Parts: sequence; structure tokens; C-alpha cells
Amino acid sequence: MIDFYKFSLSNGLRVVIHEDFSTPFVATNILYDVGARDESPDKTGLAHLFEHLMFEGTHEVSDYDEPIQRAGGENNAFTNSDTTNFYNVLPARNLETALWLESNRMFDLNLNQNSLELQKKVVVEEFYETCLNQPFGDAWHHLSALAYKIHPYQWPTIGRNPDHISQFTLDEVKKFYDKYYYPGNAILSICGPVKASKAEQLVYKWFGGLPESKRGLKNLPLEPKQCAKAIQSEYAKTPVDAIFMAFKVPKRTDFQFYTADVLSDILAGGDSSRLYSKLLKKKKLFNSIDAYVTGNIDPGLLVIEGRPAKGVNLEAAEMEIWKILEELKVHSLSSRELDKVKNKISTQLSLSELSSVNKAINLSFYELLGDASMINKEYDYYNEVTPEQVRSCADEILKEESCSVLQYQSAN
Amino acid sequence: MPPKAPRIYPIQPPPFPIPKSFILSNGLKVFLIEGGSQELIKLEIIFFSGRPYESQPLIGRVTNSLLIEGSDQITGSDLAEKLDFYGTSLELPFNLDAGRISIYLLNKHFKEVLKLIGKIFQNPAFPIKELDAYKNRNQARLKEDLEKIDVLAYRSITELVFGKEHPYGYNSSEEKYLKIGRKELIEHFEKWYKAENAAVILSGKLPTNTRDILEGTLGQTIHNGFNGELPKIKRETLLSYGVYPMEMENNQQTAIRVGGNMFNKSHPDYVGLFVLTTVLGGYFGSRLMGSLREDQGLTYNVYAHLETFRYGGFFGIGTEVSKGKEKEAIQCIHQEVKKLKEKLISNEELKMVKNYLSGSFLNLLDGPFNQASALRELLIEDLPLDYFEKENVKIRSITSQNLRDLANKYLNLDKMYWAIIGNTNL
Repeated sequence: MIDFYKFSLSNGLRVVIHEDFSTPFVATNILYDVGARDESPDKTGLAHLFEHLMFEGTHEVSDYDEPIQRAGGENNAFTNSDTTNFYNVLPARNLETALWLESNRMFDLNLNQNSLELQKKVVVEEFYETCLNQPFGDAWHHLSALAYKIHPYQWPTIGRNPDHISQFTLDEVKKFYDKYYYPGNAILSICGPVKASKAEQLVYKWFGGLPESKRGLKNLPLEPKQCAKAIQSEYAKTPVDAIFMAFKVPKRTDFQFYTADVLSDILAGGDSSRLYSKLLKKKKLFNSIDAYVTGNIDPGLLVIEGRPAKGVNLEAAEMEIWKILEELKVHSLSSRELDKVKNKISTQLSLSELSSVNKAINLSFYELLGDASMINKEYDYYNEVTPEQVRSCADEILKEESCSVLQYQSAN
Repeated sequence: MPPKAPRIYPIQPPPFPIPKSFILSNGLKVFLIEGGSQELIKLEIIFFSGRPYESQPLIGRVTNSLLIEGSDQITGSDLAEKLDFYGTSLELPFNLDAGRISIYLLNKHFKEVLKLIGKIFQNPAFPIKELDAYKNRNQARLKEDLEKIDVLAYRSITELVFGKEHPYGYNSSEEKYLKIGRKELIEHFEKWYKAENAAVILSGKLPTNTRDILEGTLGQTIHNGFNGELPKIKRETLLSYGVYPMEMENNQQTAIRVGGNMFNKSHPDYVGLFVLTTVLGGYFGSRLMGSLREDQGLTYNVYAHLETFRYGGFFGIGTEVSKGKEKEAIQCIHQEVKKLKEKLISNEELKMVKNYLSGSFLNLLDGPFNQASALRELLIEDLPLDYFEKENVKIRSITSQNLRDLANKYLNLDKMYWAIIGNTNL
């Protein structure tokens, strides 16, 4: 159970505070309600590039990382399709340093040509290092473009290609800052050994004076229902073969999301899961196999990815996966198998509550979804899933006509 | 007017707690670290069975990875199903010095899970079929890894620094996997997976009868009778220092890695060199990050590190840059090292690094599971339990003068190896 206290400032900043006296560290997370889904199709990668610019200093603080390090802490950030998050972890006594820095860069960022050109170069190197120079590093580019035709989930957070990143101008970047970086578009969470009243007082001190701004409404296009199987094949680009299969799952706040997540664990959560035990261990048809859901706010994906064993061709590999999926549509799970997955989820949820940063990130995300208290309801949501719901979820989601398949065929 | 910048307070980490410990009847040493706010326990069993102990390359890793494929008392699939059913997450990590079994579990299942884990050690089956499948999987993974320039650079640098056949230097290969047979796995297991050659760390919310449960499970099933043998590490004749390039055409980037032989944490200069390495490339505000990334935009990441093992260690620098930018990057690396040899680090920078390291030290103490990881490091490297305490005191007393002396003593880039993977037309 994570107890928290939440409130809003008159400028619109939402704040969630969780007292935890079991650790010497305090963690803060600021979530900005902007991600790659807010970009336009011909100018992608801006949300993530902007995350880098947030570390380039303000008019008051030229070296943004220096005070945090002096305070014995660390900071970092991440961007995904839905949100941009900035977090700090530092000895509790220095909480105010983090709040000072975060409030400072929320309104006073020093955006200039030099830092923009520099971070464009850094991000292009990141693009090469993490995507283009890794075997299968472009899988997400292909798979999202295959699965989404209208919705902006069709490009990955890093951007469609390095050229998009190189072309951003200072003017575009400044407009982005004005449009998304203000108290009303942010959620701040604080977790650690600090009294909520003390934390609240500090939040008022550092954020209370920031100007209000009107929050624009998001108008994201709905992805139409997929009616035909989509297939793409990449030849001779990778050292081994691989197959990726993606199916649409309900949005994050839909109860069926939890059922779909349970389904992905039935498929590949642990050594005794269906795909792993049957196709990898027993039949030895795969060298690796995994399944997971993406957890996006808008309808996301259930992805199955596998590397077939030597001598197993991609068509045969796909067929074997389909056989396992079909079984799930016909026969309900035994209660033991479902309990097994629930027990695993229970451990995973406990593990996710070990770190203060994790808790801070989760609290702000749930608050964005509508209610921070979801953090305490997750286990119950999973626990309510029945064998029949898993069967009907499999039947509804795992359809051939709504499947996107990406194949990598190696040269040999 | 916004308020003034807040004061930054110095950090005084509390002492590193000395864990409770006892020895089970079979000679197995156990450490307990109690605490935490979750109903979780982490169990870690460490066997000193890593590369220095191997009779042939890769035997340590393969033995450890195949421990859960069944034994006289349970089949592999039964074990997998039951461990999943109790909601555990089990891993079989292998680092160069030790093979481990590492598992998180909810404390209400402690006894049942310990019973299951205990069964692993009753003559593990190491089935031929599973061995073959494991080899196939790893050969395929290796094939994939060999396309990654950072992996190639790491392989190349360890081979250069320690030697091609040295336990810390050799690399996995298809051929080495092929040479492993079931008989050798059993031999490796029977020689090193002994109670007196292992340690258990339990952390989290532990039941009051923890000791009894351990005695009834691991205390009975892990065999004793270790012959006390110590590994013999042969010194190898090494190649001459300098640049070792390898062309990779299909990449946009080149990986650069520098490596030099050093020592482990028991060396009197270790702590100083560790602080110096942190200044150079051990955190975001480091000299190399400032130069290569934040000034020049040459890379997404650059780092310097000291890697230590039970029987040695090495110093390294690594980065990946766009093809054509290698010369600039190499020059920056030389410049930053040169500065450390010639100029004293300012008091302000030294203070920042010390505070940053105090923060990391505090992190080691944050909760039972972090403390358990720190303790594991000490056991694997054979260090005294008050090591971190002393390291922390030593860090506080280090001066800029010390660091400049150490830079001149150890950071001689001309007496190191340079692996350049990608564009070799420099």
C-alpha cells in the first residue's frame, strides 16, 4: 500500500507526495504530458530531442547537472510515445536543490542555437548507437509503421530517421517549449523521507510563483480497426532470422488491458510459460521467444518476438506460434496456470515498489491516467481476471486479420 | 522574483552495517541482511566457480546455466513450473569469478522455495539434450553479438589486456562451445559446487526460523568435502601496446576502446585511481562527457572505468562516434588525460566528485537488497567486510595532488591497448 497526498497549485501543477522513511533518498519525478504521439508525421523525434535540451542549462544555472552532483544525487530523463519524464534522486536533505532546478527549467530554459546544434548531433549519434547499428535495432521502426496507419504510434520515440532530427530549427524548438512546458501540463511527484507538509511547503515556494498557462486539448486520431494481416520482410540485414508479431490491445485504462497483460504472461512470462516451455524447451524450435504488451495510453500492442532455431524457417516458426495462440482461444486456462501468472505479477509489483524513483514515476503516470490511487489497485485488477476472460480476450485480440508480422531473413 | 538557490548540505553516510552470519552443518556460510518494507526476500547463492577455476573455457558459465535442468529429485520442467507458481523470479548470473543462483520471492513462500532450490544440488542431471540446445542458443546469440561494434571492441580489449587464453581475457566462440561435454560439466560441478566453496546471502523480510529452514534445505543438499584447491592463473606473453583496428563496413559508427592492466580493490592505490577514473569518465559531469559529448557533440556516451576481479583488474575508456570523427575523439581522450597529469583538479570539482561518490555510497546502503549486492561484491573479490567503510574514509582524504600523481603513475595511454572497430582508415 502506497499512501500519498495530492494537491494542485492554482497555476495547474498537479503534485503527489508519498512519505517513505525507510530510505535516506528522496526521489522526484516531473512528468510532462507530451510525447512522440504529439509530434507531426513529417517532424518526428522532437519530444525526445527536447528532453536533451532540458539539460542544457537555464539563464540562472548554466551547468544543470553540477548542483545535483554536488548534492550527492543523480538525475536523468526518459521520453516515450506518451510522456516525457525528468527525475532526480538525492539525499533527502537536499530535496530543495532538485525542486529549485526543476522549477527553474520549467520557465527559464536557455534555448540557443549552439546547444540545439550540439544536442542534435548527440541525438543523431544516439540514433546510430541504439537503433541503426544494432542487429534488429530498426525492428520498432518497421513494426510500428506496420501496425499503425493513422495514429502517431506509427513512429518510434527516437524519430523516423536522423534527418528529421537534424532539421529542427530554434524557432520550432522554442514553440514546443511554450506549448508543452508549463505547470498545468505537468505532474510532480515526490517520494522519500520527507513530511508531506514540508514537501508541500517547498513545492509552493518553488512552483507557486510560476505563471498559469491554458492547457491545449489533445486531438489524437483514432487508429481504425485493422482488417487484413500486414506482413513485411527484411532480407539479408541481420546475422540470424527473427519474427515479430504484433496485435492491438485496449488502451491503458481499459480493464481488458490487464487481461491482455495476463495473456502475454501466459505466453511468455517465465520458463514454464506456453511459448517458452513448448516451443523453446520442448520442441526446440526457437532460440529465444518473448511476449509483452507495450502499456501505451492509447491502444497499444501485444508483441511476440522470437528467433527461430537453426533449420526452422520463418513460416514454420509463425505457424507453431499460431498453434499455441489457437489453443488459448478454445480452452480455458486451469486455475493453477492463472494463479501462477498472478503470483508472478504480485512479486513483480512488489519489486517495482522497491525503488523510490520507480514509485515517483508510477505515481505521476497513474495521476496522468486519471488517479494516482491506481498504483494501489493494480494487484486487484490483475487478480480479478478469470480464465474465461483470458480465453475471450485471446479470441478477440489474437486474430489473423489484425496481426502485423515483421520477418527478418538472414543471408545464410 | 523567484527565490534564491537553496543551500546544498554535505552528506554523511552512516557506517556500512556488518551483516549477521553463521555456518550451516555442511560448512556453508550464510549472511543475513534484514529489513525492507516489502514482503520480499532475495536469496543469492554464490559459488566460487568462475573462469579462474575452469578446466576448459566456458565450462563455468555452462555449468551454472544448466543447474536448473533437473536432478535426482526433480525434473527441469517440474522445477520451472513450481518456481513460477510461487511467483519467484530466478536468474543464474555468471560473472568472471563466480556462478550464482539469484532469486526474488515473496516471504510467505520462503520454506517451499528453499525446498525446491535445495533439490537442484542432488546430482544435477545436465541432460545432453539440454546441453545441445543451450549450445545452439548461445551460438546463435554469439552470431548476433558479433555484429555489434561495442561487443567486438570489448572482446578485443580484454584479449589484448589479459591474453587470449587468460581467464579474464578469453572470448567465447563456437568452437569453445562445441568442446564442452556432459562429463566435464559434472566434473566442474562436483569439484567447485561445494558447501565450503560457497556463500549464501539472504536479504529482506526474513522469517524468524530462517536458520532452521536453511539447515533443513541447503544445509543438507549442498555437498561438502571441498578439497580447498586454489586456482592457478598462468601469465601470458602479451602483444605490444598500440592500436588494434578491425574494419566493419556496415556501420555508421566506430567503437573506440582503450584498455590497460591494473589491479583490484585490495591494491593501496585502488581508491585514488577509482576517484581519478570517476573524474575522467565515471559520471555525467565527467571530463570526457564534457569534452566529447557536451562540447563537441561527437558521441552519445563516453566513459572511463576500473573493472576489478578477484585476481586482477583493468582500466578502460570507451565510446562510439560517427565514422570520420575517430581522430577528433582520440585527440580529445589524449587531451583530457594529459590535463589530469599536468594540472591540479580544482577544489570545487574535487568536492563535487566526492559528494557525488558519497551519494553513490549512500545508495549502497539503501535497503537490504542494495546492501546484499554490495556484500556480494566484497565476497566475490575476497575483501574485508569493512571495506566500503574504509574506502569512504579514504575518498574523503584524497587531494588534488594525490590524483595528479596517480594520473602520472597509471594513466599512460601509450602503454595501453586501443581497439578501434569500424572505420580503420585513420
